[in-house]
Amino acid sequence: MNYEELKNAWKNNESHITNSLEINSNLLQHSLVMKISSTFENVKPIKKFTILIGILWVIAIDFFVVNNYSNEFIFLYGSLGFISLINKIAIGIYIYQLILIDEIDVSQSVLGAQKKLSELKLSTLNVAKTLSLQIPFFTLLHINMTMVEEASMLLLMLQLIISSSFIYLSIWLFVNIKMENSNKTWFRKIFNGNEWDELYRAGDFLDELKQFDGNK
Amino acid sequence: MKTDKKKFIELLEIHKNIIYKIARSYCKYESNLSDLVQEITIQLWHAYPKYDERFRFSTWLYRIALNVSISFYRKLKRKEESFQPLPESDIGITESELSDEKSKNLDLLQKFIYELKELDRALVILYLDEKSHKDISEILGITESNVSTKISRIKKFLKQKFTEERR
Repeated sequence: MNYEELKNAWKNNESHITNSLEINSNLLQHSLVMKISSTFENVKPIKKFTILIGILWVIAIDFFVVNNYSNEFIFLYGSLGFISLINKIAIGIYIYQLILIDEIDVSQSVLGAQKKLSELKLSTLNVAKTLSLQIPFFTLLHINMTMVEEASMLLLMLQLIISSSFIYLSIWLFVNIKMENSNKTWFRKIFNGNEWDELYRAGDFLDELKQFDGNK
Repeated sequence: MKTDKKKFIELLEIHKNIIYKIARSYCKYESNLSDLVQEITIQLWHAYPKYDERFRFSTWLYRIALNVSISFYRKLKRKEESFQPLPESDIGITESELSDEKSKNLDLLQKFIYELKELDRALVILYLDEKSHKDISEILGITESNVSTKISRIKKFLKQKFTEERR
């Protein structure tokens, strides 16, 4: 089959469609008043749910800190304060993503819109990066001032080693959580499960988009 | 608003075949086709207030229909294997399908188009609709030279597929 025949077959399709398609006006009128459909918003429900859980979580932490604060447990309340702050930043990123989803212009070029959509899905990693910074604070929750004053040097050294290790781990995660590392075993083990499949697919599609754009 | 809606429906009537062709190329099953056509229609309506009349309606429509279809296809890619009954659609085929040799070629063409990746599929639809390289580059957002390279590659692919099929 040559290219003219291909085009003729396609045109044949077109004339057939034109003759046989009819617009169901009543249903169309109904469709036009429907809430905007969900293809571009399919990530919204899970994000909204996560935001809700996140807000409840930080409210609970803040409530606990504000109502129980004492200098004796400054490590506990200070750490919880930082954990709450980091979670608030993560919630802010999620909210910003929701705003960006609403702002996607579907009438821009196909590559432009699809790249934005994929990048938006990938930006979920920024939340994971941000949240990784809270890890070391969990190693300080049990410390109180009496412990600091009375603990042996050995115990203090042990605490220092544990906290330093977790500080190193959280910084390492913050730096290394990126799509370039998505084929590494540790990455696949951390970001494992159905909820992350969308992220890997978005990453693959973004590569495809870049290849398509790059005339490769 | 009422006038806008009337005008929009008139424009939709004129370009309904574009919507259907694009949707058809991204749906394996009829059941999903009606959903996609409906979603394209709704997205067009929501974007319509921002449509700039200095530009061609068809270019604007191609962009939205392709963007919606690609996203819809990606969302349903893994779910599309299960068959569902065809619900009533806003725009639907009302006559029986063609059954002659031309139709067979068309079926094959659609089958081969469906084997292409999402973006190549968009490109081949625009090529078969006889859009200029300039139009294709504007709709897809790639350079004209890139359009030429990719079209020649896809033409080779289709030729090879038809040759294999005829053996």
